[in-house]
Amino acid sequence: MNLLDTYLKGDKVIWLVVILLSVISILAVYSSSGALAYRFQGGNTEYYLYKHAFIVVFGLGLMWSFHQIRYKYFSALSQIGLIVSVLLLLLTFFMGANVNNASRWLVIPGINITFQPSDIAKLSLIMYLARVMSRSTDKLQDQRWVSLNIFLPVFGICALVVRSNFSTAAVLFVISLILLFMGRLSFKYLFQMLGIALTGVVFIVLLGKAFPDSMPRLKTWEARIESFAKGKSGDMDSEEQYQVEQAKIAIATGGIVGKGPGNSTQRNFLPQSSSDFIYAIIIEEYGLIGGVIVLFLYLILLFRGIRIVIKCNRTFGALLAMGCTFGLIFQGMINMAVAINLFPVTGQPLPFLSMGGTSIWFASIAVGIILSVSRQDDADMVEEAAIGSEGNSELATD
Amino acid sequence: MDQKNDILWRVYLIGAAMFVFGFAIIGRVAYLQFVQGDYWKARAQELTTRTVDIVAERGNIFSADGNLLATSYPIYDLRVDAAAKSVTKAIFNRDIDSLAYQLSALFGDKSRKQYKQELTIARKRKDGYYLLKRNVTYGQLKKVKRMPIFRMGKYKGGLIEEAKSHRQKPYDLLASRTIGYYVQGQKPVGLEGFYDNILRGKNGKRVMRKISRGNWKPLRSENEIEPRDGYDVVSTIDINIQDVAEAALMKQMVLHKCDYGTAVLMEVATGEIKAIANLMRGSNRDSIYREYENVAVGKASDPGSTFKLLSAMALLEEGVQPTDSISTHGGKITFCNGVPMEDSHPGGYGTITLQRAFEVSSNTAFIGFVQKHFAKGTKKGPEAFIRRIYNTGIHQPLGIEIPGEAKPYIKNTEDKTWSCPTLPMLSLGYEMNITPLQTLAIYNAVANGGVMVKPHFIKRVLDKGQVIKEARPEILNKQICSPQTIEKLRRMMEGVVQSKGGTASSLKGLNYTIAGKTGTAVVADNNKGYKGDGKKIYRASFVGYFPADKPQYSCIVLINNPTEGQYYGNVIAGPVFKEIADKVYSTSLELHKEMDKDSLFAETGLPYMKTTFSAEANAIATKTGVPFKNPNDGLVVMETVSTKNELKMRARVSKEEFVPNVKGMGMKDALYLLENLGLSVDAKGMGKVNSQSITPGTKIEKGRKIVLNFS
Repeated sequence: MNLLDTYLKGDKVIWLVVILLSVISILAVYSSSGALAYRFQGGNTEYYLYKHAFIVVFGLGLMWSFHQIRYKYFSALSQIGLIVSVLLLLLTFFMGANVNNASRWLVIPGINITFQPSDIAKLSLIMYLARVMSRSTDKLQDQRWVSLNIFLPVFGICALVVRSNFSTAAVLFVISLILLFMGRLSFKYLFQMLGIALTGVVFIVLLGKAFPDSMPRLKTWEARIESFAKGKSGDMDSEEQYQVEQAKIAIATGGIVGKGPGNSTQRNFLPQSSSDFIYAIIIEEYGLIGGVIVLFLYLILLFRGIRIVIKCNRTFGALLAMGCTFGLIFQGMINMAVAINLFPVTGQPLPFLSMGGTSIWFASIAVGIILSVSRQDDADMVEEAAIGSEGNSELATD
Repeated sequence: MDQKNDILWRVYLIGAAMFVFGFAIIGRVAYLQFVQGDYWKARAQELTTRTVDIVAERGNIFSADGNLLATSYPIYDLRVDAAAKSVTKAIFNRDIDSLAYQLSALFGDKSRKQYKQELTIARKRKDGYYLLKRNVTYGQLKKVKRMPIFRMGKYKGGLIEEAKSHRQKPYDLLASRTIGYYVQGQKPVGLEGFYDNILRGKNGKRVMRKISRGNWKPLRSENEIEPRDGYDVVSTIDINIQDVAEAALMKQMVLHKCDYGTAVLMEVATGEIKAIANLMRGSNRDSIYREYENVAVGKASDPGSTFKLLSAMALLEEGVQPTDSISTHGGKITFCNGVPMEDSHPGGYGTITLQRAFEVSSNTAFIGFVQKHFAKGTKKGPEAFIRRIYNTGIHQPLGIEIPGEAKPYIKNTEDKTWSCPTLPMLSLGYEMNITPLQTLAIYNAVANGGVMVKPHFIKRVLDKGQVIKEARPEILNKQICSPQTIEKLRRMMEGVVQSKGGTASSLKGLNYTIAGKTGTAVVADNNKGYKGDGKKIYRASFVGYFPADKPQYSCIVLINNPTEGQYYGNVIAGPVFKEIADKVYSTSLELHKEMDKDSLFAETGLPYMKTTFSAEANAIATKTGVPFKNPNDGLVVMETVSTKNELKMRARVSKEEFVPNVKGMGMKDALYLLENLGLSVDAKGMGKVNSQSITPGTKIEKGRKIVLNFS
C-alpha cells in the first residue's frame, strides 16, 4: 500500500473507477470492433484490441502525469490552451479529415491517430472559466467585463465547433452554463447567454436553408431530430432510424444478465457499435446489471468529484474539479441517452469506454486534473493538521 | 463560509440533477427490456443479413500488338417479380400487349403471344422470380429497362437483373489453347490458367440486410471489403503472325489430312513466343480441327531427325570436323548384331562428310559417326555423348509459364533398358521424349550464339494501364556448347536449305535465307509398334531460324500423321514454316516506306471489305478510318453491300444445315466456318474465296469435299 500511496496520489476511489472502466472498455471494444476489423483489417481483430489497449494505457499515463502537476498551473495553462484551441479549430475548419461530411478531425502525423480539437477546446474552456470565476468575483456584475471575458470565449469556441459538430457545441455550451451557474454568475447573465444561444441556433438554421453549402451538416441534424421525433412509427429507411432500432434490439435482447462477453449479435448490425453505441452493446453482453454497473461507476465518479469540491478550500480548485467532473459525466449521460433513444443520435463518445481517436486521452487528462485538486486537498489537510489549524480558512481567491 | 456554501448548494443541485438523469437512463433501459422487450425481440428474429461476394473484375489478356485476346464483360439473367404490388391490374392490362410485343421484337425467340401468355401466367401464380430471359447483353438490358411496366423503376416495375461475368476470346480459335481458361476444379490451361492468381483479382465482401421479401439492401454505404480488380496481362503473341501461323497450319493439315500439328514462332534474342498454333482433329475423326491440346507444350515424343543437330554438336565438340567423312554403305547398314537401318535415299550417298550427312539427313552416316566415336568400347564411350547432350539442359523441363509442360526424357546409360542399339537410335532422335517447344529452344540457342533463353508468353503485367511487372529474357544456359561448334552447326543448317540436294532446298531462293533441319520421324501407332498393322505413322517437322545470317526468329512446325501419301518434313512442314517466315519478314523488316494515307484515299474509292466476322470488319474499318455501317457485331458473318459514300455491310445469313456462301472470305474464316460444319475443304490458290464447288444453300452432308478457289 505504501508504494501505491507514493505513486498514486489523490482520491483512490477515482483511480479504481477509472481502472475498472478501462478494463470494461477493452472488453467491450474488443467484442464490438469485430465488424470493423473485418472491414478494414482483413479480419485481424487483434489490431483494434492492441490499438485500443495502447490508447487506454497511454491515457492512464497521461492521467498520472497530470495528477502530479500542481493545479494552480492550470490557471495559467488555460489561456494558452484557449489560444491553441482556437488555432486548431481554425485549422480543422479548413483542412480537417472529412468523416461523414463533418470535418472535425485532425490526424496526428506519425502515429496516425485522429483527434478532435474540440476536446482540447472543452478542457481549456473549463479551466479558463474556473479561472475567471475564481479570480474576478468583484467584476462579475459588470456587463462589459462579462461580455468580454465570458461571453466572447464561450460563444467564440462554440461558433467554431458548431458548423461541423452541433452536439459537441451544445454540450460545451451547457457545461459552460452549469459551470458559470456554480460559480455564482448572476441569473441575469445566464439568461442572456441562453438568449444568445437560441438566437445563434435560429441564425444557423436560416443560414443553412439559404446557403446549403455553408452548413453541410444541417441536413444530418434535421434527419436525426426528425427520426427521433418520429420514433418507431417511421419506416426503417433512414440511417438514424436503423441505428436506433438496432440499439433497442441490442438492449431488449440483452435481458437482465446479458448474452455474455463476446456474444453480441447486434454489433454486426450497429454501424457505430464500438463508439457511439457501445453502451447498447454493453447492455446486450452484460445485461441490465452491466448497464447499471457502468452507470454507477460514473455516478461514483460524480459523487467523489463533489466530495473533492466539499473538501476543497480554494474556489479555483473547486470549480476546476467540478467543471471537469460534470463535463465528463454530462457527456457520458448524453451518450447513454442516445444509445437508449432518450436523445437524438449524436456523435458523443462515452468517456473512457468508447473506442476512437483521443477522446480517452482527454477524459484521462480531465480526471488527472480532478486528482491533482484532490491530491493537494489531502496535502493541505495534512499540513493544516500538522500546524494545528486555527479553523477553516475563508475560501481564498487564489 | 457563505461563499463556499453558496457554491456548494449549486453543486448539490446539479449533482442531484445528474443522479436523476442517471436513474432516468436505468428506467429507460428497464422500460425497453420489460415493457417493449417482446416487440424488439420479435424484431430481432426478422433481422437477417447475408454476406455477398463482390466479384472482382478479371483482368484482360492482350496480344503484343495491343489486341484483346481474352476479356470479361457482364451478361445478365433477367427475372421478373410478377407479384410486384405497384404493377396494378389496370397497369398490367394496359401495358402487357406492348411489353410482349417489344420483348418479342428485341429477342426474337418467342412470339408476342407467347410472351404475353407466359407473363400473365407468372402474374397469376404470383411468381416473384420468374425467369424472363437468360444471357442478355448490356445493350439489350438497357432496352428492356425502357419497356412499359419495367420502366416504372427498379423495384416497382418488378424487373430483376442478375449480372454474371462472361469470359470471351474475341479471336475465338486463335491461340485459344495458349490463352487457355481457368475453371474452378479443372486442370488449368494456358495463360488464363497460369496467371489466374494475377488475372483474378480479389473479391470484395458486402453485408446485405433484408428489407422486405426478396429485397436486400447493403448494411453500410461502403463495402466491407473492397474488391480489387485483376491485373491485365500483355502476352507476347502477335495476333497477325498468329493468324498466319494458324491459317497456314490449318491449310496444310486439311490438305494432308493430318492428326495434329503445331507451329511456334519465337524471337531469338528474347525467347518471346510470337505465335503458337496447335491444331488437332476431333476424336470422332470428322476432320474438324480445333485447339484441343497444347501440342507444342504438352506432347513429348521422339523428335526424329531434328535431333541430329545435337548429335552433330556432340561429335563436333569431341573434335570431329564437318569435313570428316564416312561411308554410307549403299544406304543400308546393320549395327549391333543385325539391327538394320537405311537412308531415305535408296542407294545411299557414297562416302560423305559430316556436313553433307546433316544436309541430306543420312541415317547411316550418323550411325557410322556416332558408333565410331561413342560406341561402347571406344575411348569416349556413350557416356560422353550423353554428357554433351545433357550439358545443353535439353533433358530438363524449360519451366515455362504455361501449365502442363511435358517432362523431357533422353535415355542414358543408367537406364535399365539401355542396350547396344540405344546410342545409334538416340543419334537419330529416337528413344527419347522431347516436346516441340523444347526442340525449338535448342535451335533458338544455336541461332542465339549458344545462349539458351527460356521461351515465354508474357511481356508485362498491367494494373489499370500501369506496368507493374515487366518480363525479362531469362537465360537457361549461358553457352550450350563452344562458339566454334555453334558456327559449324549454323553452316550445316544453312546447307540443309542452300545446298543442292539438301532436304529443305525447297525453301531456297527467297528474299531472305532460312536455316534449319527437317525431320521425318516414324512413330509408333498407338503402341502397336513402329510398323503395327503394316501402317507407318510419320511425324513431319521443320525447325529453323531466319534470316540465316542474322537470326531474328526461330520457328518449329511439326505435323503428325499426314495420310495423303506424302510425309517428308520439307513437303509437309516446310510450306507452313515458309508462310510464317514470309509474313514475319514482310511485316517486321520494314522494307516498305509508309504509304501516304490521304493521297491514297483521294484517288481510290472506298475499299471493299472482305467477308469476315462483323467484329473484325468493324475493327478494321474503325482503325483505318473508313466510314462504315454495320448493324451487327461479334461473330456474325458480314458481307459488303455497297462501297458508295460509306462501307455498308449486312449480316450474311447462313443456316446450320445448309452450305453457307463463303465467297469473298479469307482462307482462315472460310476454313473455320466450313470445317466446323463438317465439310472437308480443299483449298486452292491464295487470297479470298472466288468460287466454291458446292452451291450455297445445299444441304450439308458431313465429310463431303468442298473445293474453294482462292484468288
